[in-house]
Amino acid sequence: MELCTFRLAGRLFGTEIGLVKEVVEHVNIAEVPHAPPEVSGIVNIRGKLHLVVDLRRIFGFAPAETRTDVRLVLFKNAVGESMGVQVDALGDVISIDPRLIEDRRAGEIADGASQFDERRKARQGIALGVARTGSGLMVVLAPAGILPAMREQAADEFRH
Amino acid sequence: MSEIEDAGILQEFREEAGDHLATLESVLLAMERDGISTDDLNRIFRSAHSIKGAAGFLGLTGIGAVSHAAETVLSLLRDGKMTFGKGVAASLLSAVDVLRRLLEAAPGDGGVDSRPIVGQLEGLLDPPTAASVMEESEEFHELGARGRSMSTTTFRLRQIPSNHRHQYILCYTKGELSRRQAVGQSPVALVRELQKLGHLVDDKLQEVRMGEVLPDEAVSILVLFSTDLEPTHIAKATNLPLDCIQELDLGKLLADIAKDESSLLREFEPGVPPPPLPPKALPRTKPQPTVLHPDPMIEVRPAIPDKAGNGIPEAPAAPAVGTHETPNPSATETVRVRLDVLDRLMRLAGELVLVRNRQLSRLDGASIADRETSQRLDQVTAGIQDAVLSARMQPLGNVLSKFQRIVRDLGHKLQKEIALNVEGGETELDRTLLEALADPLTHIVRNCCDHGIEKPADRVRAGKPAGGTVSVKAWHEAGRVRIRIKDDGKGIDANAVRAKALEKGLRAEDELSRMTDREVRQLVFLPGFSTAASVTDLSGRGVGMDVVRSAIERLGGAVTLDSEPGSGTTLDLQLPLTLAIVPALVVVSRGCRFAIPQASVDELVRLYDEDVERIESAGREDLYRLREHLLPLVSLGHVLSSREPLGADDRAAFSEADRVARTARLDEFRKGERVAVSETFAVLKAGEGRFGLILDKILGTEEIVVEPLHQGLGNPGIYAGATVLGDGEIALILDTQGVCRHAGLQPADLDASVVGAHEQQALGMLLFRAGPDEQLGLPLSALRRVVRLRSDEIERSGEREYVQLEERSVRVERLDRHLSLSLAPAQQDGFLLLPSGDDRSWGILASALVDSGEYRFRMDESPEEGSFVRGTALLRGHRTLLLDESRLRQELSR
Repeated sequence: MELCTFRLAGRLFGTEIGLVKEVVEHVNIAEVPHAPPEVSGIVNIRGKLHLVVDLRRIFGFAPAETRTDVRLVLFKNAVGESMGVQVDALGDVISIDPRLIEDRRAGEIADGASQFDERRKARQGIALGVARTGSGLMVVLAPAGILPAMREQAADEFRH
Repeated sequence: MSEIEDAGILQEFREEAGDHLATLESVLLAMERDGISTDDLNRIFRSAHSIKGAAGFLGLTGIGAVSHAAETVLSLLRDGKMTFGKGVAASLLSAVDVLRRLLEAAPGDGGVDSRPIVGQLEGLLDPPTAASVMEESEEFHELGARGRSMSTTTFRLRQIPSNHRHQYILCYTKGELSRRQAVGQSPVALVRELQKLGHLVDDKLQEVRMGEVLPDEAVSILVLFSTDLEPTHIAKATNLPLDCIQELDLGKLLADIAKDESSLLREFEPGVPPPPLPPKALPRTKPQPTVLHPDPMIEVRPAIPDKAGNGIPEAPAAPAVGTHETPNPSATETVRVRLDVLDRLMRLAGELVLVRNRQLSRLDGASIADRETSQRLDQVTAGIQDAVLSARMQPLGNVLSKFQRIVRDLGHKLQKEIALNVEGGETELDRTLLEALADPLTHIVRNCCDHGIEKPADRVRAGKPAGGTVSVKAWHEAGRVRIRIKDDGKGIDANAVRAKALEKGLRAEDELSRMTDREVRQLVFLPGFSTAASVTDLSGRGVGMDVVRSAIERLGGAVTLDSEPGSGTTLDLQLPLTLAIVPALVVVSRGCRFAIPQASVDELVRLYDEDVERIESAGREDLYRLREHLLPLVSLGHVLSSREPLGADDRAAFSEADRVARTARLDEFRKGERVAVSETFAVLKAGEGRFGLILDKILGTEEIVVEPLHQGLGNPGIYAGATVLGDGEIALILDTQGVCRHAGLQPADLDASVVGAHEQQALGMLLFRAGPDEQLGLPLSALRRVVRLRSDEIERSGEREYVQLEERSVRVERLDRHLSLSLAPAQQDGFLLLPSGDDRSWGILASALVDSGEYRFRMDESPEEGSFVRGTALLRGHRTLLLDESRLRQELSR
């Protein structure tokens, strides 16, 4: 299994390379007032508008300092229509054995009777699991879970 | 090729056959109205023939049988062996309907039985004709050399044009067909190509021995082909190897057959009238074993006229509307383009613009050669953009063409004689708009037939011709599309509308009596004005007119109605040319760009220096007096600042902060620390009303391409979409109604009548008292109705008072709480003045009514009376406080 890796908030992430449409740098993200907080904004990639999701908000990481040079990983339409995530730095493409990805979801769900159940479950839909690599622990993303997780958070927000 | 191997081929056939059916239908309708012509018959004969030909090639037997029967009837009509009557037209139109259904269901038959219609068509022939046609189509001739021979009937051979000197059997192996398919020539395209070169008399799948697996080369389709191409040219023209072409010598056979049938196909010998011919028979329509159906005709018309990229039949239908058709007047070569390809082209053209812009911005210090190249790039880009946009445009005739049929069928059903006149079918508009327009237009035309046009007897009694006319006229005007639908029916009786509106509780009686007839007629657009059950009681129309209006308004258009009782009704529609590309005002707020569609912008107001104080803060929200109307204002920045809709407190806080900031800037200006102070707002439409949106910066106007918002944005109500601007930046498109809603503003009605400050004008006023002392005045237009109120009907809830009226709770407002007036005794019977408009939640308490009527007066400003009073005037001998209705509304409607 080949993974496209990137860094976000000091952590290493990877996503199956077959799901990545392209990687773009140096684009302007247009802010969308009233958009859900997990949305960074929209970008124009060769005349087509794409949604940019802020994974920091979804995972609950500290917000980034404002950066001028934006890097995006855009996903194929199978993942969600015209959508991508903002990353801090791009890494190499690495190859790992899928059996080495530990699914930590089962454990978390078992001990997670917390009040953030809904959010946690939503977040878990985004991560396939973790894998050990030469450069440390890597979270393997399931990008198809991103848009559903956002819907879940919106509903959650509505409830509270 | 007896089975369909590729859905793409089927789709191609469906589109092409759809075009032919549209031609058939419109020509049949025109002939039913205006009589037959040889040109028309030839044209639709070719259409039926083409459908049959390709259907046979694709093995669609149901379609083949029906189109074959229709073709036979048409050929007999053309040859003068049958007369064209109502029954014939109706049967042929039914055949068109059945073919449409079969086409949709193909390759299956979708449960559509083709036999009844075939029987119906055959039943049109008188028995001797039927018998001789049958005889002719059962008389087989074996042609060609052994191994590559095929048989065909006298009937088919008779269709060979007399000027064709050469006949061939062409052999297409399955391998050959696959190779052609690979380079994009489908069987449908192949049939079309052959028809351009000559006449496809017959074709058949060469028999193969059962149970034997054959290589592709051994299965083939044989085509009996007639043309005037010499043997030396035929190989090149058909692109077939020589051993697949077999020349026939049919001269004698054809001469025998043609002995008494000298000029069959008049399209090859124009001007020659059809000689009287002995009756001939209808061929049996059941498929012959192993002989596939098609015997399509040559198509010598310039090209199949369908506009690039629309996928909907165009030219044959468009000019056909209401007028007698001439084949393809434009004679422009066209091809089909898939919609997604066109959309992609459109996007790419947009990108090209961005590239061009970037290039142009780098020209500083460039060489002359570079400049020239860039200029050329600039021109070419603009040209491409124009061309792509025009490719999306389609004539309105595409929609109007189906109205002939609707009107005809409705006329039959309602037993009315109705003619439809269409003008301007060639008027073009964007395809998305056209699609959205089809339903409301159909609705209007149906209404004209149903409720506008009277029965023939009634019309004659009214001194009008028995037949009614519905006319549809379309034209371009001032960058918009205008469509006028007019009938010469009985019109709309304003008093009937009044009665209906009263009965439905849509308007109060006094309000209705004040409205002009024209105003009253517009009430048919109100939701709930009529239902299908009640509308027949009403002289006029009105079924779902609210739906029509909202559909048109959603498209950025407008609709108005006018009617002359006894002589008809006219509906005027105004529409933008395109939905995809709209002119918009581009503005900046909080560092983001926003686009406001021009259709929503009434005007821009810029205030300089001292004038900025004319924005009144009023402690609650910003207001600006625009030509005697109070316009509520909000700053776009404030609307954007909160995801939650703004409440009264938010508005008050923003308004106060803005006022402080404005005053501070003005102070700086007065002290000379600032060169100028200015404030800009746009007057925007929100439904019927208006509000002002304060903008930080206006960049200008631009034609924008509207793109839907990504669903991940969770549908914020203030946007109508997004767009990429010419410089590549993104702008969000504001939905003005959503912005107004988010800001919690009550839009002002700028059309409401106003008490002119200095001019004398007649104004309907109600004079009343609240407290014992002052006489108050309110324009009648501000009131819906006045009801008597006993003090014991008033229920108290804390500080507030309510009464039950019209099955709801209505808040009783005492004016002495809002302006300085003498106090009315708490326990006193009186009147409740209910405001006009949508808000039914409050009414003003009056202790006594003084008078009502038209008054001419001069108003004096008297600011000391407070903000709810516009001024004072002397009415009926008393100083009267003229209340500011819009201010009252602003205040009380929250």
